[in-house]
Amino acid sequence: MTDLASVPLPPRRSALATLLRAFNANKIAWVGLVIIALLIFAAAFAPLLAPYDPLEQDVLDRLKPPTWDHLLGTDYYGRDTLSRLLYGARVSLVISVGATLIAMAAGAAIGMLAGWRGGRIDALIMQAMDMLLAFPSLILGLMLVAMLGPSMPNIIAAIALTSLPAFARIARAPTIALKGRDFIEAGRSLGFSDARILCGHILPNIFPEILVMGALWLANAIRTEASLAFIGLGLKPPTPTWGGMIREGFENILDSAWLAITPGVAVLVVVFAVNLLGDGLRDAIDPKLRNEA
Amino acid sequence: MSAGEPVLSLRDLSVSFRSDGVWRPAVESLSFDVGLSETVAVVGESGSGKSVTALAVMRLLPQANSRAQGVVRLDGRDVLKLREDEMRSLRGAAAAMIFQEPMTCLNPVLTIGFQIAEALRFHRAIGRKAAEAETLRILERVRVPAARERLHEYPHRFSGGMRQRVMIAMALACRPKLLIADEPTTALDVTVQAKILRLLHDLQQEMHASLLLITHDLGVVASMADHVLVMYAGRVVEHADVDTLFHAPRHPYTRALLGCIAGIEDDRRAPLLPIDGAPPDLRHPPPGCRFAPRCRYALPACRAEPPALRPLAPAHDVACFRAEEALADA
Repeated sequence: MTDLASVPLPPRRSALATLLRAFNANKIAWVGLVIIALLIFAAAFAPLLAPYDPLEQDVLDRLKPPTWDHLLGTDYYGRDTLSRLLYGARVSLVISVGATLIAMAAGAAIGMLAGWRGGRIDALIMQAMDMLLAFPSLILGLMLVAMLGPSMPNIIAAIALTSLPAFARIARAPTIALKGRDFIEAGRSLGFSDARILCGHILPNIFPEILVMGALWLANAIRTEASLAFIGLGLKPPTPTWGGMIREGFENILDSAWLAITPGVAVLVVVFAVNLLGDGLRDAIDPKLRNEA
Repeated sequence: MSAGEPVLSLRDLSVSFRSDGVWRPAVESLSFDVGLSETVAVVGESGSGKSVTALAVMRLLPQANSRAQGVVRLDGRDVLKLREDEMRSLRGAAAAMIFQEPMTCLNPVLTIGFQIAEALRFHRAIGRKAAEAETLRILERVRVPAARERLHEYPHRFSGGMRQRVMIAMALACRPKLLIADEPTTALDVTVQAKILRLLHDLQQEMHASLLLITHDLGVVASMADHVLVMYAGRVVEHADVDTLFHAPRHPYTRALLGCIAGIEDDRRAPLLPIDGAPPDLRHPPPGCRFAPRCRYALPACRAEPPALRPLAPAHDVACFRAEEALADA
């Protein structure tokens, strides 16, 4: 036996270091990270950054193109587009991140339970998930919000439900693979309960996959939120939302195109950035972390 | 548990598994005791029911397609009658297990310190700091070098032998009265095997734990065990203390097993004697003695009816009709 203590060990690599390494290998992921960091900053400090009150109307300054006073122009009611965009980022972030976190937690729990219990419970749960998955997320979200009413919690719940099946699936398969592993049996032989084994031993093993899935579905959640707002199922006016701004801008698209284009570009850039970040995360855990673990 | 009562006592334990709707026996009417600080070895080929016995004692057999009957008394409690939560509090605390495959028995994404401490904190109401101190002490006790640094490392940084030490540390963390080691050294290099066995032996002495050692390695048995059970196709064929078993084995199967050991010190360079044939398919067990089809001494009676396990001498039971005869050695 080689005495391990006498062999110089390679420097220990933390999860963060692994992540940094993967991000460096996939440099464009940094772009995504920076854009998202800027977005979070903008949303968090919207009251300080916004030059105007996003709800303040000014009938004398309606439909102004970008000027030094109003960097992104004003809308039909004379409200400052830049300020509305900054406040809209808050809504967009809170709803999409909230919905994704809920879907991650609930989906992972459901998927782990299905995989762990197997048999009829598994079949039943996964059938239900497949049914949810069969609906395009926008249609399902639309149905739910139309039924429940367009409030923040309802929109979050609707978007969470549409992304639930993806997380249930991503959690279930590795749970099935893991439950036959020796270390699970060893845990049982130490008297651990099912709940402890699931939360303490299986979850840490599948968490990276769930996290990557979360990043990828966050983009979807942002898009769905904007789409719902665009078709009038977002937060009620005058609350600024990106989707709502696109819709309002649409009415004056021929003479004041920037009103629809700026929030549209905002959605585009954020979805793009989140996707870049998700790709970076996926690269981080795909082959490398696996070999490390 | 009253004084003098064995730590583990099995009476008429039978385990069967269901496959394709048919119950097939894996272990039949198994009875034996493991006394305080005693080491009992269970020996047999693959499929003889050794590991199933271990899992039945811990009640870890898959519930859906297995069934265990008889009495298993562990630390004075009737294992097969306990509720699941009562059983959980016994596992790890009254009896703990060491498995064959140290490479896969540790969770790859948790540090070994965390995994040992988890067992401790689960069974004893101790805080995080106390658990960490205790973990360190146990790791040093199983002689993991540089234990303090290695506490925070993940299992992939450990060799097979070191992982088996960690497994032993986890198993002994809560000072169980009974340690079940299911082929603890089979997956290890020969040189590491000896170290691990020595460690197991020393720790067992220190902690006054009983050991149920499951193995197919007769060399391990000779160096560790007090008593030996030889199993064949789900039944005990011979049960004796270790000296008797090695010097005066009575069952043809035991003798055949001993004939299979490669000795490096034999000056006459005796050829290894493989046992012809294969163990019976337990879906269709032979009606008589299960070893009869492979036994060179089998009589017609052996094939008709199974011989009962009967005492031949004090602490020496054999299940063979011809146990008293001086059979010509092979």
